[in-house]
Parts: sequence; C-alpha cells; structure tokens
Amino acid sequence: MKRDKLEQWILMEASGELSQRRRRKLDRALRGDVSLRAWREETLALLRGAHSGIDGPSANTIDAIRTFGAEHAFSGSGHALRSPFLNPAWLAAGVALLLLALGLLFFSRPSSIPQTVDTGAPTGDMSDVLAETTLDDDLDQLYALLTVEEDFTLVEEDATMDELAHELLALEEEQI
Amino acid sequence: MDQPELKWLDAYRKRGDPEALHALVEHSRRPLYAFIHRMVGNPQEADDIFQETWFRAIRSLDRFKGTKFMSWLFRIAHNLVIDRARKHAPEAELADPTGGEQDPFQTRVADPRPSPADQVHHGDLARRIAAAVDRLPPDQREIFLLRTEADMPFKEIAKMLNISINTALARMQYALRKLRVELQGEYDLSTGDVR
Repeated sequence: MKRDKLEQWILMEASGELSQRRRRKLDRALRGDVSLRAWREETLALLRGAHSGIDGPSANTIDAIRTFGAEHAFSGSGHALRSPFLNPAWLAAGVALLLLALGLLFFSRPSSIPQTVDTGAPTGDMSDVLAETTLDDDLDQLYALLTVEEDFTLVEEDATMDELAHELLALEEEQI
Repeated sequence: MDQPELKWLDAYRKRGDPEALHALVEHSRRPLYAFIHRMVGNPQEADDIFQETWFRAIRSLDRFKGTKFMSWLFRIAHNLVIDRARKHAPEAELADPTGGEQDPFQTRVADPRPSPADQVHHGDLARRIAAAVDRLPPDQREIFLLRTEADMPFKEIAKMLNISINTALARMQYALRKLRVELQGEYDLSTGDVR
C-alpha cells in the first residue's frame, strides 16, 4: 500500500468518511509502521489545534442580517410568507378544477325545463289520461290538456281522435 | 446526519419566522465567519462578506433545493471571497509567473503574512498553527479551513469546490506537510509541548 494513500485514509478516518474495510487495512498498516503512526498522531494534533478562537461577526452585522431577513420575508419577494395557493402551479390547478366543475354542471343540466302554465286545465301526467280504458269518455280531458291557452290551441275544437293522438305524441316527444 | 438548520430553514421560508432565521444565522456564525476571516485576513472585510453571504442566501432561498444548507452557504462565501480577491489584486493576476498554469485563485487572495495581531500572540499552539495556515497557498488553505473550521467532510468540500475528492485530499496532504515543516522545531505536534 502506498504511503500517500494511507495518509489520505488517515485524513478520511479523522473526518469519519473511511469505510470499515479500509479502516481494517489502515489498522494493519499502522501496526507495522512506526513513522505512519507518528504521522497520524501529528496530523490529529494539528487538526485539533487548528480550530481558531475566532468567534463571529459584530453584533451590528448580525442585526443587519436579521433586519434584512425580516424585511425580505414580509415585503421583499414575499417568498417566505407566500401561501401555497398563490403558487402559480397551485393557482393554475385551482382554475382548471373550477372550469371542470362548471363544465360538468352545464352539461348535466336537463335539455329543457318543463314549464307549467296555469290554464285551468286538468293537471297530471298524460299517461294517466291515456291509461283510461274508454277513449270517448276522456276525449274532453285530452282536449283540455292540449288546449293550454286560448291563443295557444294545439288542436281545433272539433278534432278527431286521430288528430288528438297525433298532437299528443308530438307534445310528448317535445317534452322528452 | 441530523441537520437542525433544515427545520429552521423551513420555518423561515414558510412563515417568515424571525427566530428561525436567527437560529440559522447563529448556527453559521462562528464557522462561516472564521472561514471568511481566515481567507481574507481582515475582520472588517470578513464582516462585510459574512453579511453579503447572508443577504444573497436570503434573496436566493427559493433556489435552494438540496439538503446541505451549510455547504450552500459556504459556497456563496467562497464565491464572494474569490470576487473580492479579483477586485483587490488585479495586478497580482497579471504578475502570475506561471503564465496562468497555476490556479489563478492562488495569486489573488489576501496577504498571507501573519497580521500584527498574530505576531503579538505567540503563546499557544493554536495561534502558531493559525499563522502557519495563513501562509499556505489559498487553495490549500481553503481546504484546510473548510475541514477544520467548518468541520466539513472531504466529500462535501470536493462537491462544493467542484473538484474530485482525491484532489481535495491531496491539497490537504500538501497543506499538512507544509504546516509540519513550518512548525518543526517549535512544537512537538504529537504532545503540543514547546521544544
């Protein structure tokens, strides 16, 4: 093993970066080499003694950084206090969701809304009328349903049963 | 490795918590300042660079995505130290006798001679080592200080300086050999005793 490499391993050992496998090799080399052991001791002493007594910057410098940090957090780019919902990505996602919801609402709406007009005519489902067994008896009811207003008469007063039925089917189709 | 600075960083970024920022600054105060001070050799300039390092960090916090906040901070400081050297010693750059083959950073840093304050205090091993470290070439001094003052592992040092780990280790070896020669005859390094 080259001396250079072993010295580097001693440095890595001191910084806690030497693998177990290399540490075992280094231990073996140290056991058989007095000068390497001396180099290791001196190196560790140098590293321990190299820590300077320099404390830190002036209090004014620290205050200036704190002031700058506070100003920047509250009025600078504002990144420190930015709500996640003001993030452009979040904002875009929110708008997309809103549009999607509006779209769904629009397309799920019924195609026509039934309108009720007070005509004084009998109310109720037309199937009730059609279910009647005697057509002649209910001719008046059908007529009343189809003449919803004076000026909106679907059939003539003297319409035949066939004409009434035809108009009735057309009205039902419209409602569907 | 537990990194409390990430918790403080998160609190400052999300809520603008001033105490979290203070904790972060305090956490970096001694190692970062010592590194800058030992690189520029002037306490007033060290104060200015320390402050500017933090101003830049605060302005760029959005861009910090990693987990090594202290390394990121030291990298900003490293760049500012280089900028300062470029501004202060353009003539040294022109006078580079190697014609640019040598690391140009070596010719641009502060006067490596011990300051008057260093010369007054010769009473302990730390001061003698500090004076010897100040005389190291800047690229070796930087590695030595990042390792000893910032307690940064070689892997992180290499990444921060954009060099290989072998280069970082080799520079540290050269630094130690020079320090050993400088301190020879003054101290028994293994015991710290005066000879």
